[in-house]
Amino acid sequence: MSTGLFSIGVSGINAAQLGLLATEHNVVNANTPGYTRQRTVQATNIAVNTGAGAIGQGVHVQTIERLYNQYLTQQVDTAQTKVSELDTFYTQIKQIDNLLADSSAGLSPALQDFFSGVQQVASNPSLLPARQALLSSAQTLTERFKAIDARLTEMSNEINGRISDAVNEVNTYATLIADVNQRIVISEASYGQPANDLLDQRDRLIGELNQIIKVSTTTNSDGSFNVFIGSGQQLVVGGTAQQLTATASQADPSRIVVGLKTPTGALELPENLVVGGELGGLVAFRADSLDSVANEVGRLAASLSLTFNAQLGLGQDLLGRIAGEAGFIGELFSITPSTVLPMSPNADNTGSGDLTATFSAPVAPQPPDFSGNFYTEQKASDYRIAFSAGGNYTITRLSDNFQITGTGTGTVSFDGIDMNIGAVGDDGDSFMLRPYAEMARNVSVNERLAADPRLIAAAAPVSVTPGVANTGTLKISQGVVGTGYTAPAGALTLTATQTDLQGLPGAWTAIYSDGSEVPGAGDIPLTSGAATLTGFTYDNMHFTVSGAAPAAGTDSFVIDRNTNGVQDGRNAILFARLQTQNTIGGESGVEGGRATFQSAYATLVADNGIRTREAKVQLDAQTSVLQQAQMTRESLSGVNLDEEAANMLKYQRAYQASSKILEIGNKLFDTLLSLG
Amino acid sequence: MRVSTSQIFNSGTVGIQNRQFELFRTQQQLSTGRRILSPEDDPIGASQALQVSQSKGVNEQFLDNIGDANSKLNLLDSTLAGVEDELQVVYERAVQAGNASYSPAQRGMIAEELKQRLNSLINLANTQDATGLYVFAGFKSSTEPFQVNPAATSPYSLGNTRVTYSGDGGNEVLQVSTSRVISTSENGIDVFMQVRDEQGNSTGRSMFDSLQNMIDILDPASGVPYTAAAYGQALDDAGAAIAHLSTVRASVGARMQSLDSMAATAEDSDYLYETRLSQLQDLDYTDAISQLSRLQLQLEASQLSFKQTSQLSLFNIL
Repeated sequence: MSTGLFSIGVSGINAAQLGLLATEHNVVNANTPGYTRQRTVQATNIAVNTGAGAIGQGVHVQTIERLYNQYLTQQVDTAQTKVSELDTFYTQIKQIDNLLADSSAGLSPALQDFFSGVQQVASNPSLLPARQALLSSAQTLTERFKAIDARLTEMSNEINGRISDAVNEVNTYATLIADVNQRIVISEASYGQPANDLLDQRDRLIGELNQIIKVSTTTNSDGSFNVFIGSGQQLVVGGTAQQLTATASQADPSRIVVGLKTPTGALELPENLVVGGELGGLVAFRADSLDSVANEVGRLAASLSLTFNAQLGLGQDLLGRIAGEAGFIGELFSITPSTVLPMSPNADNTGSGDLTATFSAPVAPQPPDFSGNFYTEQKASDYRIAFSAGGNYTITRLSDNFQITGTGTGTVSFDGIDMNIGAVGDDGDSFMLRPYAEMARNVSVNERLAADPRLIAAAAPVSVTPGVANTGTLKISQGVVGTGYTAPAGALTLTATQTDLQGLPGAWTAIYSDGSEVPGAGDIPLTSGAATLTGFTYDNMHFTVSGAAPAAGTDSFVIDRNTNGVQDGRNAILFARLQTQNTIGGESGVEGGRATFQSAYATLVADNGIRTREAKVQLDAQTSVLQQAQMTRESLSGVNLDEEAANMLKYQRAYQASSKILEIGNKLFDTLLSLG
Repeated sequence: MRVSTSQIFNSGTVGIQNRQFELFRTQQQLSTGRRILSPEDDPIGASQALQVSQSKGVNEQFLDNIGDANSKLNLLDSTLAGVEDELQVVYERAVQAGNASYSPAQRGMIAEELKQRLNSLINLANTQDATGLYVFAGFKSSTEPFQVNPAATSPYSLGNTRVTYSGDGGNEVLQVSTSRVISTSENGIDVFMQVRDEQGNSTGRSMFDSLQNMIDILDPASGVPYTAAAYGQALDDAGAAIAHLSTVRASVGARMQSLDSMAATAEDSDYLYETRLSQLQDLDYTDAISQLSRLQLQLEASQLSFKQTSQLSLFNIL
């Protein structure tokens, strides 16, 4: 009986000791990340059944358990991976947001300054300092384009680097998790008890992995975890880890993409499978924002160059030279090194498809009066050209997945781009066309123009001089030229009689006050029924006519090259107007829907600002979700030092009480011995 | 609810960090005076601000152009005023010369003066601006437009003109509003060569032709006989020249007037753009300052409560 007393006392001391140990473990790990508080689970020993009843045999510790709930941990992980993704996305997009709107680094002030420079030439066409001012402001503008491009490229390179680093980290975590899995299996199989601290360690590894990429887990019967990414691609199966790769994309070697390592190499993961965590944030940012901003900035650079050059090309420089003549430079902006757009074949292509693309000429003001302005139909997007059997192909505009189909070789035009297919690709071959990727850095001020401001074609190429002896009130305007005009080879003298305008050596279109447009050749009648002549178009030059023919005799007008027309700024006025005209984003065959350069840029700033704001709002919301989930988990699994202090007292008391039992047993034994 | 010790510390620091960030932002707003620090703060507002500042910039450009146009037209007008003065004197002298009591010698003296007047008229027609450009040459402003033609013979008319014009029919224009270009010059044909009557019909003689005809009629040495009819015609021409020039000046004056009203409009617009920009971008200081003190108070409260809570521990008492 007294042996029972001793053994019960000892069992109590043991249980209290274990309780104290568990408490101490909790106290010292109170600040260990991922630690789950532990406690002993005590149970009574099996009682001895006697005639007097079941005699209790003391206490034992069944196990040391973690105060743990798998679902709470999963909630934290899910929230954490979202927060990491949004945080990465937000940090990146915020940089663009600041860049675009910066009053010194943004495009807006440079664009405004450039057009102020243009206006100066329009006001003072013969003044060299004004022309120099235009060139300087144009150089500032191209520098600004280059600076923005450099920053975006830097970000793109940074993303490539971070993806590689993140993939390395994922691989390290996968190996560690596989290792911990093995140790858990061994530990639990040996003792039949949960490997609490290893389990914590694995949960923590999975939590940290979730900060890089979203993973899901399943538990095997032996206690090990399987870890999956994306839509179920295995990363860890029990004790074995798979590896992710970071390699240059098959479709576009300039970008690093995530893939799965296979025995033969790497299998690219579609970007929509890379979600959550830092990787998800980086990939989403690159696809949603970085590319679209770079494309929009590139499109602005391209459209500005093309429209401006087109109008400039219709002018005459200070030396009196026009398009087609030696020494005439019909462009302010040069696209260097090449106007051929970047087209990269997919590395997996088997055929010998040959595709080249260039920008189409901008849409020009139309005859008969050449009012309106140059504009482009460019869309800020990349394009994928995929071949199927028989030389059929599909061009996909990646910004909105709009598709154009065609077949065979030849030139196909879409969205302000002319693409020539020299040879078709094999079935399954594809090409990536990124028209705007390099445009912002490739636009420069034409070197020869930069060296000689006189070459800016500010004047119009033709002028009209009325005869000094004219007696009527008839007036013919100085003229506007359109694309494809032919300046008169020599002075072209028109003679106005009482009924006709004579002397045009070819076909013309006459326009009358009733709006009618009458094509013809030879003499132009000054009236058409009751309507009077208001203008005529000849060789893509348009002149307006007003006033009345001479009452008697003839009046003369000489249409000629604008020789020595140094104070003429008519063409400069036309290209200065491009600032306020709708020059960008036209839709083929549709009037309207276009924007000015500045409003296209403002839209970009707004779009990007909205995305940044959206990311911030989501990040804030997800952060509260995460905090909430962490609170809930902490509330169950976190260590409370006050509670542990109380537990220490509790187990101390239990220990003391159990010791007392031993003392009492001892005394009883002494009493028995003294009896003998 | 059970609370873990690290929760107490975490929530304390998170709270302090959040307050600090808000305080920092408000402080930044106050130091820059801008409500929108980056487009993220108000994407639509930021984009509108860009558009408004472009409109403002364009408007300022038009204001500059209006100023340019005004000074060009002013120079033109003062030159034209000089021409008009010259023509007035010529007309007075011509009337004087018609005095029946004048002898040919007396008329010859007037002719001598008129010759000087003709020269100064030609000089005026060849006026150059501050940059050396000929004001009345049309686009060809780097070549002297008016030259005496020694080959022409009396009587002079546009078909046989005393002073030839080698400029062209161009007029400089300036864009002074999105929809309006204004002509800032007059070419030599319109001012000097084609003297037009009120109906706009050409008299067939340039100012120089008329004046030279008058000189020849008055000058006994010219070999052109003085007849009442020829004199009367020449006098009419001189009168027509004055009338024509007034028309030209009136047209220049009308342009200056319309520039003035455009400048007034553009200045109003400038003010409106400025106001709009300020509404979009500028900070409401009262609001921001009261926000700043509120955040300061909150931060102090969080810090204090954190200090108090973090000191509570059972271990301290044991």
